[in-house]
Amino acid sequence: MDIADIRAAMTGDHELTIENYKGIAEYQDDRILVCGRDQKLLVTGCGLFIDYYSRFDLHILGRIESLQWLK
Amino acid sequence: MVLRLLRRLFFIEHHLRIEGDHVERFINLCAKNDIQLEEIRRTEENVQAVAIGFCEPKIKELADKAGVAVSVTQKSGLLYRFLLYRCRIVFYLMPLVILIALWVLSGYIWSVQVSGNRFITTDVLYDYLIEQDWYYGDKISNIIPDEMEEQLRARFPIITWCNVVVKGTCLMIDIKENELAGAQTGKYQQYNMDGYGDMAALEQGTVASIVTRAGIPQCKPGDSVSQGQILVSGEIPIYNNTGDTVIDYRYVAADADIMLQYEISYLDFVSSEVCVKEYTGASKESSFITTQLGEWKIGTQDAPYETFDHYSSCYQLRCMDNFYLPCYYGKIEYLETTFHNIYRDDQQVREILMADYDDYLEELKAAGIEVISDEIQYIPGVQGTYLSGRLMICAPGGVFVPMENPAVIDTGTD
Repeated sequence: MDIADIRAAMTGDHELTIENYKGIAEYQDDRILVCGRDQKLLVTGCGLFIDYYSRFDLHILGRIESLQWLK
Repeated sequence: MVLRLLRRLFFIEHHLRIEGDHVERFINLCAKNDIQLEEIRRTEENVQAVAIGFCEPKIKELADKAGVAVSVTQKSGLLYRFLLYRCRIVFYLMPLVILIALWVLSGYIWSVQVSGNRFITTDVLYDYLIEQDWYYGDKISNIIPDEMEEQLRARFPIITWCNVVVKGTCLMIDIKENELAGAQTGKYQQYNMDGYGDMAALEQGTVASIVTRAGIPQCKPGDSVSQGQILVSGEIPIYNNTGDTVIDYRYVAADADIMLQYEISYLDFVSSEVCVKEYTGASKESSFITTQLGEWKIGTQDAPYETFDHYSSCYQLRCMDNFYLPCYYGKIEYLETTFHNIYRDDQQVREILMADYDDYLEELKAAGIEVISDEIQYIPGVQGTYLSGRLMICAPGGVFVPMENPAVIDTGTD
């Protein structure tokens, strides 16, 4: 895995930590689109909210249903 | 998680309401400008978030840049409170007063713990500590452990080892006593082995054995001695070269292991009728807080039953392990009791008397006293039965008797 790729770590279906991202492109309570350098990560679910958001990591809580990599 | 909580507690926390079409851009800009956003939630009308730190002007600037409307709905955090109440001097003074009070209190003793004492009661030790200003409320700086240990040993010669430690505001005294000396006298007896003196008979009896370490023995095994008779003399005569004239005396602290054989009497009584206490099962509780200003009770105030037992537990308030404060709290439990008489038959009475007698023999044995023979008998009385008799024992029987002032004793020579 390239170091520049988005790194995502999930705990069950309720907690997701994302690193190595550039920013978020879309934020709704049922979908969050996170942009990396070469790809995007689409998180879908319900009741999603961003627990904390800093330059280095992003912590999402809620009921996560799917993760989808987009080019 | 803990760090986040602490940061939110101590720093300024801004609750934001973000409205507009480019909320995501605003969030990204905040991250790039090192403004950490937390708890970002989208509601039907807007997005809510929490920003930590001194970032309000920067947030306004970034909001303008992202084209969103940001309003601060609430501010919180300890630092924010300090800034908010900067004109209220009491708000700043209170923590300062508390800190000063704690600092002042930490210079005094608020707990005294004594351990290892058996013959010297804790109350006796406390009385001595009060005399010396080494007690509750006295300054810790007054206490010099080495000096205190020395003074305790000098005041109570029965103490063979003593350790004084001040931990926080707690004075801890750990002592060890000369158990043989305590057992011989049955109670603490003041004598000074450092001075000059003789060894005298504690009781009237026959010398069973004598091993002299210092002084001149005045008796031999088998001799009958009376109470107070000198058994080992601390006065040692010095003769001239011819050995027929005493030219001087040397005085020592006589020391010897002397075993005396003598008779002691034994008497015990057990009543046939005895009043027995029973718990009814009813109980009440109350709590209390005691400070230097007074005592407050919560719950049952006075005696709740006609007859009752009460058990209390008392704890001293403390910070950390050894910073004791002059405040006590605890709980009192009142248990209702009733009394009624029961009657024992002769067999039961005799069993109790014999059990008591066995306990007594065990106590003698533990004190280093050997029972050579015993002659006991049951004597029926009006209200119960006596167990009476005499015991021939062999026990440590020498006691140190200090000399008044040996320097002025006339030696008969010039």
